[in-house]
Amino acid sequence: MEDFKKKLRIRIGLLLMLNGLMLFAGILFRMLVPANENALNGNFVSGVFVGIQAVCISLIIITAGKLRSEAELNKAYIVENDERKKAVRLSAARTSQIIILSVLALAFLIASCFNKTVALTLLCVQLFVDAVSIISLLCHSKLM
Amino acid sequence: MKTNIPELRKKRKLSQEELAQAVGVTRQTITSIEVGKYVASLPLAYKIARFFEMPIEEVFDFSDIDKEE
Repeated sequence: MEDFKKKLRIRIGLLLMLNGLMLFAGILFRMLVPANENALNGNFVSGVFVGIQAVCISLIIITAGKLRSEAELNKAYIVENDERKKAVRLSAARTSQIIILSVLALAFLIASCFNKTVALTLLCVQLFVDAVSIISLLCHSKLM
Repeated sequence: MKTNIPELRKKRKLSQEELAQAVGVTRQTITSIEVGKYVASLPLAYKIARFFEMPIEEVFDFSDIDKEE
C-alpha cells in the first residue's frame, strides 16, 4: 500500500506540473498572439488550456481525497489493480489496434484511387503504427 | 471454468462485495468468475482458496482441463 501511496503522490506532482505548464503556456500564448488577431482561434486555444487546467485540478482534488482516507485509498487500490479490469483494457486495446489498422489499410486503398498525398500520409501512419506495435511487442517479450 | 464460489459464499453468508474486498478485487470480478465469464489468475485463485481455507481444486472445477488432456 505504501507503494500505491507513493504512486498517487507522484501522480499529484505530475498533475501540478502539467497544471503549471498549461498556465504558463496560456499566458505565453496570450502575450504572443494579439487579442484582436484571429480572435476565434485564440479564444479556442485559451479555452483548451483552461479546460486542461480544470481537469488537472479536479484530478488533483480526487487523488488527494483518496490519500486522506484509508478506506478510500483501499478502494482506489482495488479498482486500479483489479486483474479483470486489466484484462479488459488489454483486450480492448488489441481490438482497437486491429480496427485502427484495418480502417487505415482500407482508407489507404480508397485514397490511392483519388489523391496521392492523402494515400501516402495514410500509408505513413499505418507504417508508424505497425512499427510502434512491433517495437513494443519486442520490448515486452524481452521483459517477460 | 466452473467454480464452487457461490455455494461457498452462501454457506458462509458472504456477499460478493465482502469476498471481493477480502481478496482485493472488484465485485464485478467475482461476478464474472462465478458465472464463468472470466478465469481467475493463479494468484487470485490462490487467494480465494486460501480465504475459504480449501485447496484450489475444491473451489475451482478443473475437469474441463483434465478432459482436454
